[in-house]
Amino acid sequence: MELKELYKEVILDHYQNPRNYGEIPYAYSSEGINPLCKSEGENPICGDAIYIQFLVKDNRLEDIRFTGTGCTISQASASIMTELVKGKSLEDVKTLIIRFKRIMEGEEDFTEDLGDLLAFEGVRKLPARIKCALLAWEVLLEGIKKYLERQVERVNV
Amino acid sequence: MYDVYKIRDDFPILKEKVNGKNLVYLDNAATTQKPLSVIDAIADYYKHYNANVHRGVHSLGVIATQEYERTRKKVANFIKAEDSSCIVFTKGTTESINLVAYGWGRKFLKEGDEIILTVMEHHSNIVPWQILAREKGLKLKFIPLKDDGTLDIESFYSLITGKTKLVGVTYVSNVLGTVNPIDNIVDAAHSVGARVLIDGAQGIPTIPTNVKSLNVDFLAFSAHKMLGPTGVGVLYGKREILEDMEPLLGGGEMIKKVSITDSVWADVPYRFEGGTPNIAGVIGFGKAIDYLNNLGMEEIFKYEKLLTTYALEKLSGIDGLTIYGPRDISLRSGIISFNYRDIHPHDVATILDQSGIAIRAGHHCAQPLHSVLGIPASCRVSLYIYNTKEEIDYLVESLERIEEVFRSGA
Ligand SMILES: Cc1ncc(COP(=O)(O)O)c(C=O)c1O
Repeated sequence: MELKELYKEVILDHYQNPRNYGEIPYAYSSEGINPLCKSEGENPICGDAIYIQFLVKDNRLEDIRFTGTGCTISQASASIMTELVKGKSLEDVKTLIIRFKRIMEGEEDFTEDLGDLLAFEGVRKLPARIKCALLAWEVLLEGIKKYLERQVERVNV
Repeated sequence: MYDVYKIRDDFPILKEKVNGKNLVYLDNAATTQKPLSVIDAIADYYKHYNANVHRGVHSLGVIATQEYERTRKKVANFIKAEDSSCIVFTKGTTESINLVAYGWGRKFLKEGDEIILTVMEHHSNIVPWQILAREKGLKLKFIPLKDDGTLDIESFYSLITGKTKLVGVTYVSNVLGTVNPIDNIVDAAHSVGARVLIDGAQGIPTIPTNVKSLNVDFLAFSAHKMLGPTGVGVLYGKREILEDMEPLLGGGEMIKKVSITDSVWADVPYRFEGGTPNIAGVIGFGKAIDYLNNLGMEEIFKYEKLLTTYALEKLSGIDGLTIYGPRDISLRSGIISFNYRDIHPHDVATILDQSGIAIRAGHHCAQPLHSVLGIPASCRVSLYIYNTKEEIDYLVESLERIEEVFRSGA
């Protein structure tokens, strides 16, 4: 495989100029009504780490930011993800995450509508790096699941 | 005369192409490649005398047992142990260290006792002690590093007390390449009556070693890091210490007598080898030791120094490359970890892989050490008997080209 295919310009651009990088300012989240959700994860084998913060309003991801350390693939993937999911309904976000996971794990194919995610076609050919690409997505999925569990608990109280 | 090209001919895998390029295998600290004699010995066992050991009276069982036990003698000779009954076969360094923790530590250590380790230990010489410390209320202390990546022996002397019961130290750091001063450590530990466990995973493959003159109490190492198969390791222990230890696995092979209410353990070392062992692996390991002995450990040691000196010199010449660990060649082995500019080790490893070069990227199972160094991960090149100067030149060229990928947006 050509290295160009792996380190696509889109990926390098997101790595060098990550979008939605940083933390959501505390004042933005009116604690209790619209709590700030946090989720983090690490790839224990290589030490890549991703921290995500997001705000949900009317069942939509109103805002999302990330920080982290790690390789080009893991950090670019996080940046691209935040752009794609911001403003989407939680259901749509979950669907996209699950679809991207299935694609990277070779159970589904890339389709043209995936936009910047098409840049990961090269990564999919390198089994050793698929985990890097999926880290941020797993972290967000975990965060959304925890958020939804809390909602259920709240309703049940 | 050390003829590296002739040696390479004995390793079939070195003729493989990876991503269309000749394989340049520089990940020997993870596991080494195997010579044909080892591969053949494993196949021969399965083809010609596959049988269980220490059980049957039939001929195949007798031959298999003889070959298996022959390796035990070879291992004993290789590290100059007093007797082959001091050699326990395990599945690797990790199991060997766990055997010391549970077979010895659980029996003899009590609340308030102290264990001294170093910050450069592999996780396998940290985690078992953390588990035991939690169970028993033991205290773990860690010897820090000096700026040059060697152990701060002065602090060790101040950490050690009458409560110290065990000092566990790696022979060679699997990240920094640092070779630790085992004799000083043994002397200080023994002076307070503490036992010494050496994690020899990275030392035994390249340093000619005499356990009797080092006077260590335990030594753990893995066959697969010294030309042998995976799934075989060794715990050397002084005979009188092994005699007092409890087994880790209860079952077949490890008992003298079993009644419904009680069992009597078998003699050492069989007491510690419950269940059918990795017979083929142990037999293959015997051939690996033969191979190393034929080359001569002194010769291997010299060649590794030569090659490491060359690699350090070449790598130091690369702009923006930071090497960790001692620069003094007498203090280190052929394991060289580094970071290159601000390019993540993962990316470095992937790009080199496209040139057929296998290196390791990550924290190499030494997270505490990486915290001390203040880095999340590093790249690691590790050399062994079949690596050449040409391979190092090719590594350096390939490293210098990496930046292009990032600069040009590929
Ligand atoms: C210093 C050190 N100790 C222990 C180990 C663990 O060896 P094994 O995985 O063969 O049990 C390794 C290998 O990675 C090592 O480098």
